[in-house]
Amino acid sequence: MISFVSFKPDNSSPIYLQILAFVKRGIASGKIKDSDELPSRRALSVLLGINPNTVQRAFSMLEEEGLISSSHGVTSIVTAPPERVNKLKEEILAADAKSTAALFKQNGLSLEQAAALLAAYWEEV
Amino acid sequence: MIQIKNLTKKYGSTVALDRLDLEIHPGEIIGLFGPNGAGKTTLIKSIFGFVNYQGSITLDGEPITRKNIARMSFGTCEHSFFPGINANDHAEFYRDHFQSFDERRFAVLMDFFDLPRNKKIKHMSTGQQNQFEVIMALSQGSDYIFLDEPFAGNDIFNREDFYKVLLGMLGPDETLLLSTHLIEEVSGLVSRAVLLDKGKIIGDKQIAELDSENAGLIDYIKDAYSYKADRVFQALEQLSPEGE
Amino acid sequence: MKRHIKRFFFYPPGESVVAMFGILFVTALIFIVILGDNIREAIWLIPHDRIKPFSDILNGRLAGFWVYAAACLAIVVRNYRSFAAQSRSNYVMKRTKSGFEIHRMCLTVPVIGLIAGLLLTYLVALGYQEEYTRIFSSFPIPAEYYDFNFWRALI
Repeated sequence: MISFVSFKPDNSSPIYLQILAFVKRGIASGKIKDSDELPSRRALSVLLGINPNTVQRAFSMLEEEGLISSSHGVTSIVTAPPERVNKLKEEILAADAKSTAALFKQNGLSLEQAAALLAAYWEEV
Repeated sequence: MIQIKNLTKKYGSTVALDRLDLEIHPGEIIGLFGPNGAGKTTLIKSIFGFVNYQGSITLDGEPITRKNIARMSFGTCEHSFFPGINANDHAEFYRDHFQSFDERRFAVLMDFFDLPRNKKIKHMSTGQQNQFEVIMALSQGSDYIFLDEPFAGNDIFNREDFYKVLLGMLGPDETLLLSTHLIEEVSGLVSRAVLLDKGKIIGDKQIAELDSENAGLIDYIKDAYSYKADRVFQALEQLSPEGE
Repeated sequence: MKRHIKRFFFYPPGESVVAMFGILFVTALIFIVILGDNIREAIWLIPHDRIKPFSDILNGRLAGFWVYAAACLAIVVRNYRSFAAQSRSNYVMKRTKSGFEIHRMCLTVPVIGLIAGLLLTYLVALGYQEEYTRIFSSFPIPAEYYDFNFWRALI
């Protein structure tokens, strides 16, 4: 069963997107594995204190993207074969790289300067 | 469905509600938001007929009278329990007077909040009194539940637990209208936000709609009230001594 | 049955019926003792050569009943106000099926008390009529002297 204990919604974007992102990052990082079971929609709604419609929407999106499959409409199972996980990792990395690049640009750094900065901290983390 | 048409309420020359239209559908969880004095409480009291008003309010097409008023329940920060009797006696009273009183829900909620059954309500703490007020509104067995600022004086853990219990408990056709200033807290809970200002509805939005637009509720609300982020700064600037 | 009686008398919720009846009983007792004594004195002080009709003696001497009636009324007011004081439980009362419910709760005890008080006052008057008759039956007085007009005793 996937734990949503560490999920903390904020007011920055629609909550269904935050659920979506939470699951995606979980899969990419390996915390959520293939054929893990999700809580029922109702249970998740109660657990998070979030309107069932919102949870429903998040689940639908996950289904659309093929990341979960629901049998009998009750239990939902994660479908993340290795190639899908890799693709997700790439997607998330790309997104993170994009926002980091944007941040560097905002601060007026050139590509070389950014690379140098990254290199300087590479060993530290 | 509760249908409100052209509702106007005046206190003397002050207009509390101004030609207001609103429909409340079964199964909705509505957040009723607005600054103090926007007319939230007056709106709810009008629906119950606790105040006189102009305009029309119907429940499934019928005017709201003793015949159908028990289909609605009301929990208020003013409190409407009987202070001099205990919880068990309340249950007995509701059993006698509300056919659909939900005994089981009452028991579950009393246990959940760990409220004493044999203590007079007036001897409970304010937080417990608020919880009890809400318990009775939820247990009456009504189709439409109105809660007016029910959590004043409760701590956040209590409230968060409570939202969860609400979601787990409400049936698909039960309707909840929650009037509160704790917008952030209930932004994930509600399915629809109704914004009131100076007796008028200045915003009415399904959360699903906002989601499709990729917009957050808080931003929508700030927009609706044309919240000016630099308001504080401007005020300070005007206050600062000249020449600086 | 017990529950039925409780339903009838227990409310307004949280109000004690015993206390309410207690207040009424004490009020009744006080005025009966004071006023009754007053009447007894009036009867005994009549000069035997100038006997007055019983009604004249009683004249207004039971007007203290109105003090009692006022106490009953005060309880009525207090009962109704209890639904708006401390909390607005009248919001709940307005949702009950019967609009009469709140009136039943507020009026039952004081109305019973009022009727009982009226009856008691009447019995007191009757008792002194008995005493009047006992004392003056040996005197040649007209039969209508023994009559009494209850209403005149009250005003």
